[in-house]
Amino acid sequence: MPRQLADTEKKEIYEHIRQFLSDELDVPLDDIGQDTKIIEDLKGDSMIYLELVENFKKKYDVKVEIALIGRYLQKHPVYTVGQTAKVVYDILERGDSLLTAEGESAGGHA
Amino acid sequence: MPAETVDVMTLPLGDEHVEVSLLDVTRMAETDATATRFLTLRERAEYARLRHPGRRREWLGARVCLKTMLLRNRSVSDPTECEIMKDARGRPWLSFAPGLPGRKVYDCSLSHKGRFASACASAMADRAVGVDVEEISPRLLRLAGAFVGDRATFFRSRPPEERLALLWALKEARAKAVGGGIGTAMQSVTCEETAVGRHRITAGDGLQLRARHLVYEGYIIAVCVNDKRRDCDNAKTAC
Repeated sequence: MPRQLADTEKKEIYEHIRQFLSDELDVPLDDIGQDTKIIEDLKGDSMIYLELVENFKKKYDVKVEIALIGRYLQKHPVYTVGQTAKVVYDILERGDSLLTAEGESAGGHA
Repeated sequence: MPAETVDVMTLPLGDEHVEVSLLDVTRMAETDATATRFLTLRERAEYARLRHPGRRREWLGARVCLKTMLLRNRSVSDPTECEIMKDARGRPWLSFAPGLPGRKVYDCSLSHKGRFASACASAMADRAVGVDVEEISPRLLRLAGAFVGDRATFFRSRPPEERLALLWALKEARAKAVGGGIGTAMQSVTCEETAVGRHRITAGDGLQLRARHLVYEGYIIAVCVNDKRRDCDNAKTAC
């Protein structure tokens, strides 16, 4: 069900992402900002994105298929913490309709 | 320091047109001297921008792997005669110094995880490759839900963490071979082990690719080959 995140919720999610990356990658929280590159600057890997997404799906009880999120990420590549936060906002706000506005249905390619 | 002294192993994952190599980066001594020996000025500037020491070591290790293969197959006589560039989507490609004899490598892929860095090179112009290294660890068990859309048939039963590491490595290697990023790796696939260590990977778009893997000291190394190079942005320009 599409919903609109409040600014306070977005702030909370952003901070949650920073904390998650700090814990998982053993990097001081102060070293993680909007423009920090997750792989290049923090020594993250591709799986960390998968872990982040799964983490938020559980936390917010979102049922979006990982393959749909994958298709979204093909259109909106992410490198930085700020870009990752934006993707998480979109997943939580748009749910299964993640790609509907871009001409693709949840079930497959248009 | 001679470039040939770096302990790069050739892995039995390739064929007459595809080479794969592996380096234990924890055994790579004199990192800065190795960087000076193997990297061009532009590569050294990129190396210097990497802040995390572990990331610097892995980044360098993967490039040492690739350039050592090029030295061994005589594509170059010095590692600084070629440069590893990246396209807009982060996919690596090779730029050779002018005046070198006929090109022997047309596509390449790099990967690193934990102790190991790996590189893969293709000697065929229409063949794209992807390599991935994954550690077999309980970390994957937390992500089992992300794999529910995949179907995998393997020759023998494996512990869950090995099965998931293999599946993810195959999906990542496939994503690199078709030129996609993390979004491509999240797509559901069907993996069928057609012979021991050999796989057929089919994605939702119908594209069918072949792959191989081996397990080495707790890590999976997977290589995927895209013969048609259908989705690779570099097909006509970069390589």
